[in-house]
This record gives sequence, C-alpha cells and structure tokens, in this order.
Amino acid sequence: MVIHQSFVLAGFIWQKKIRIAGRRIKKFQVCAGTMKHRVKQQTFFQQFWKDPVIRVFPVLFVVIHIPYFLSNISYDHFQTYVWTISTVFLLPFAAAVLWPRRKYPLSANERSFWKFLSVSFMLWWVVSLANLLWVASVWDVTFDVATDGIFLGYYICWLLAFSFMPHLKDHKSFESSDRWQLVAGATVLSLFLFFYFILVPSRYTPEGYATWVLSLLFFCFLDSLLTLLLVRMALKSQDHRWGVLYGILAGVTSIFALLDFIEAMGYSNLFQWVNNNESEIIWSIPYLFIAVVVWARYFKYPKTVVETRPPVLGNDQSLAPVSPIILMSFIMPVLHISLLQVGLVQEQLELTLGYVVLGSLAAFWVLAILENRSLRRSGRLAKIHAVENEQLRIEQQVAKEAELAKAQFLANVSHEIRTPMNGILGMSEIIMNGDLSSEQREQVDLVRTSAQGLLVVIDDILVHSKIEAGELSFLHEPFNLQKLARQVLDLFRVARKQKSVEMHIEFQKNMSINLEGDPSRLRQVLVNLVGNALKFTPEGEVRVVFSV
Amino acid sequence: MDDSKPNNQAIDFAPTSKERILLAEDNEINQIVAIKQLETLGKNVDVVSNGYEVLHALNEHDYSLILMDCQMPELDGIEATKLIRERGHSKSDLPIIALTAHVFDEDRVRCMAAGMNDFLSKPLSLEQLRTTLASWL
Repeated sequence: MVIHQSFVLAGFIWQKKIRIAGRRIKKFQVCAGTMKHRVKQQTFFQQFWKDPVIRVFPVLFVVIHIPYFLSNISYDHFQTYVWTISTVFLLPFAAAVLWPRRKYPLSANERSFWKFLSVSFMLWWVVSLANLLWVASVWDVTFDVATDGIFLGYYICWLLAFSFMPHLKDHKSFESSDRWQLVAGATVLSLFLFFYFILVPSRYTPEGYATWVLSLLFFCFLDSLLTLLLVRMALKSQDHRWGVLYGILAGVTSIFALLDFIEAMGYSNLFQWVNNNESEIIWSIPYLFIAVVVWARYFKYPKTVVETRPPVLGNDQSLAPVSPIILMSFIMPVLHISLLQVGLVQEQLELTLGYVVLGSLAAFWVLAILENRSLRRSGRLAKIHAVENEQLRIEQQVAKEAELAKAQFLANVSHEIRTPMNGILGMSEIIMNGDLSSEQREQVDLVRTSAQGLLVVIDDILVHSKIEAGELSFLHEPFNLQKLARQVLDLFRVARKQKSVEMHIEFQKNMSINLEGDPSRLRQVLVNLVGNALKFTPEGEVRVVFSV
Repeated sequence: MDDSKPNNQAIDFAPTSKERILLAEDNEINQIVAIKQLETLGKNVDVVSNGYEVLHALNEHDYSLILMDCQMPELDGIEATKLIRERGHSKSDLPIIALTAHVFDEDRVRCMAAGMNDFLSKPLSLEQLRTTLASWL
C-alpha cells in the first residue's frame, strides 16, 4: 500500500514533468517557426532532478525505511509505523500545492485536487495516531485491527479523492458513471469498515478468519474497480502504446496468477494461506479477473492509431499519475509470488516489498526513458510542423489579400462604369420624353435597353464576387412586383421581336403585388430565367407566372 | 444650358416661389443629366461641384432638398453632410439624398450614418427620382 500510494504521487510528479516538457516543446515550436534560435531540449532526467519536490521524495522514502531495516520489529508493527510515517510523503506535495506557480505549474483544478487529498491524508494521519495511542488500548482491539482500519482509511480517502478529482470532470474518457462507481465503492467500503470494527474481534481468532478473507476480497474488489477504471481510461486515451503495454502485462499476470492459483489449490487450504501470510494468493483471483478484462478491452480497441496524438505519452491530462499504480498493481503480486516460488523469500512480505520497490522503480524508469525518446521525436515533429504551419499561414495571408484586392477592383470597376452609364440612360430617357418620330423613339429605346442590359451584367459580376467572399446580404425594402416584372421584360423587347416570341406576365389571383424584399436580387433571378427561356424558345410563347 | 453651370449667377437667378433643390455633382455630364431630369419634374435646381460649394450655397440661400454625390473632390458628400448636420440643419428641416454610383450596402450604411435621408444609385431613372423627391418634399 505504501508503494501504491507513493507511486500515485510519483506518477503525479511525472505528469508535471511531462507538462513542463510539453511547454518546452511549445517554446521550441515558436523558435522553430522563426528559425533564429535553437533551444536545447532537456532530457527527462535533467528535468526530473531539477524539481525540489522530486529530490525530497526518494530521500523520504529511504529515510522512512531505515528504522525497519535496522531493527527487529515485526512486520505488523512496521506496517503501522510506515502507515503513520508515510503521510510525511504528503508534506512535499502540500508544499507543491503552496509552491509558487512559476516553479511548480499546477492548474487550478490540480491545485484543488491536491489540497483535498492533502487534507484527507492529514486527517487520516491524525486518526492513525489516535488509533495507535488510544483506540487500541481503550477499545481493546488488537493492533492488527487498528492497522487494517488504517488500511481501509487509505482506500476511502483515495477513492473519494479520485472520484471528485475536479480536473477529471472535463476529461473526455472519464464519464460520470465512472465517478459514481467509485463513490459507490467508497460507500460500500465505509459500511464495511464500520462492520469490521464493530463486529470482528480479531482476524486471528477462528471466527475472524472468514471476515478477514472477506475483507481481503473487498480490498481486491475495490482495487480491481479502481484499476479497471484506470485501464479503461488508458485504453480510451487512444494511444495504442498503452493498449500494447496492458496487453503484455495482462498476459504475464494471467500466466503467473493462473499457475500460482492451481499450485496453491493443490496442497493448501484456505486458512493456511491466511496463516502463512500467503494471502497474496487470494489477490491473484481479482488480478486474474483484471487480466481477462484487460485482454477483452485490448481486443476491443485493437491498435487504435491516433492521428492527432498528444505529443507525449501520458500528456493526456490525468493518465500519468495513475499509470504507475496500474503497473504496480500488476507487478506487485507477480513479483511477490514468483519470489516466493523460487525460494528467495521465505514467508514474510517485507523483503519482497523491497524487491517490489526496486522492480516498480525499474519499470518507472523504463517508462521514463521511453517517454524521453518519445519527447525527442515529438520535438523533431514539432519543428517540422511549425515550419509547415508558418508556410500555410503566409499562403493564407496572400490568398486573403488577393481576394480583398479583387473585391476592391470590382467595386471600382462598377463605380467607373455606372457613372457614364448614368449619362447614357438619363439622357436617353430625357430624349424619349421629347418630340421624336416613332422610328427615332425606337432607336433611342434600343440604346436605353442595351445600356440596361450592360448594367445587369455588371450587377451579376458584383454579386458573384460578393458570393465568393461570403458577403452577400439582402435588402428589405418595399417594391412593386408588377413594375419589376415589366422592367425585366422590357430588357428583352428587342430579342423578343427578332424571334417573334410572345411574352406574357401572369399573377395569381388575389396575390399582393406590393412586396418587401430585395428587388435587385429578384430582378437578377428573373433576368436569368427569362433570358434562358427566350434563348431556348425558337418560336411561340414565354409565360412568366407569379404565385405565392 | 446657362443655369447648368455651377456659378453664383445661377444661384442668384433662381426663383424663390418654387421648391429649390441643390445638386452637388462633380461630373459635368451627370450635372446636365440631373438638371434635365429635375427640370422635367418641374423643379428649380442650383448646381455646385464639391462639398465646400455646398456649404457656401447654403449660406446664401435656403434649399428644400440637397441631392449629394458622395465622391467629389476637395470635400466629399459624406463629410459635407456631416458638416451640414453639425451646423444645425436637421434631417426633417433639410433632407439630403445621396446620389452615387456606389451600390454596396456598406455605402448605403455609410451615407445614412453621416446623416443623409435617402440613397439613390446611378444610373438614375426619372421614375426613381420622382418617387424619392415626392417622399421628401
């Protein structure tokens, strides 16, 4: 449990380091964009040792263990001692919470999470001390029971803290059902704790055995629940490397758990396991279950290749702090059981724990090295991407400017054409109002119609450019539909005469002629429709029918 | 053609009994067109060719309406309108109608924001001119 706890915390630090590394990449991107500077990327280990919290952590870990290794105290005593003292682990993290942001970049959510966790653990620490000094003697419960209570307290704290981890709220792979599963687990555990303290005198009395086994199963159940949720999140994170990792771990765990279980069934009975302190074997049952589920999940999400993969492994917000606990959950029983089998460990857990620590640390470092490589690769990728992005941005800028120049040019053309057009159209109209022979009148009318046709063309071009720029807007003004339709037909008077095609306008009965809208847009539509109708009608009739 | 020239004489000679309209237009051909159109509609018209002349003419006479080209040398129609409104000629007191070859909505909005009453786009038909004048006079 100490190791579980410490690895959660170590994982958190790991995540922070990754985040810092992520920021460096951003900086690197900017520099690559300007191509003026090159930033030497720090390796994971360099970053790791720079952090004061990281430096304190392993030292504390070692210091806590020194008294045990130097003395002859029993494991049960040591366990309680460790439980109590291990809360000291929290001190650097409390410090991390209070540390200036500049040095230890925590988001507001993380800050609140760690505050919550720190307070929980501090409370638990007080309860533990009270247990040691007072509860055991006053209530006449055994030291073991008190220790187990502390055990459970740890689980409750952890589950509650995890369930309400604020930054999981927005995590895409953490659903609210996951949260309530965890809360339900914590509630069951609380009830069980109550039951355990009130009803069970000691796990070493015959009537206590069954409850003790039951309690172990509960531990296993809750640990499995937590682990499964974490695995699920990891797999949902869609980084297929996680899937591969869990696939391998699931395979190894299955084999060991199965072998051990079969062997144990052969020559032991249930109570002997417990008495011989080999209760870890019971853990193999849920771990076997986990292995099966992990396999199932692994095949459900096979080799999910992520195109927009986060730049670093575990950078996906909250996976990193939990990854060591997952690793630990797999490695611990496997290592312990295998050490028992080969005879390196006779009976006690404590030495095994040392190996477990070493093994887990090794796994942690291996992951860190992998991480470091991944970081370097993504650094190179970031550089390439930055250059590409810059090029793309420049191209976009150029295209935008060209588009703007085009629009401006068209607006100017329109203005310059309309000004003389005013002379042509205005004058034709004035001439037509004067005394003219019918032939002259027809000729002037031809000038007017042609000029209006030209205007339609210019309007079309303008509208087209507006549509291209996505800026077309519509007017809302009253207009007379009948008048508008007449104007449109007037434009085709000459063409109509040449082809001897009759044209008629019809309106639906009781239809309102005075409408509101954009007459110039409607005119354009009508001109195009009527123009096409006329073009493809060699002889006969074109009818324009309006209805609502 | 005499009174089509933008000079002080034209302003002085205009009779006061009828509604008098001030036309601000820099393009000479379009001046002629507009004058003819207004005459056809039976209106008296004085012509000026930039914003400063508009302000000057307003000092000399009272006008019932201004037809204002937006794009003019020295002082354009938009700025001239702003100055006229600043000098206390309200929208109801002296309607100003934009007369421009710009047809975009932005131009319309710009004219209205400057304090103009209406917007006529070129080429201008007699019918459009008649309707618009009727609504403001």
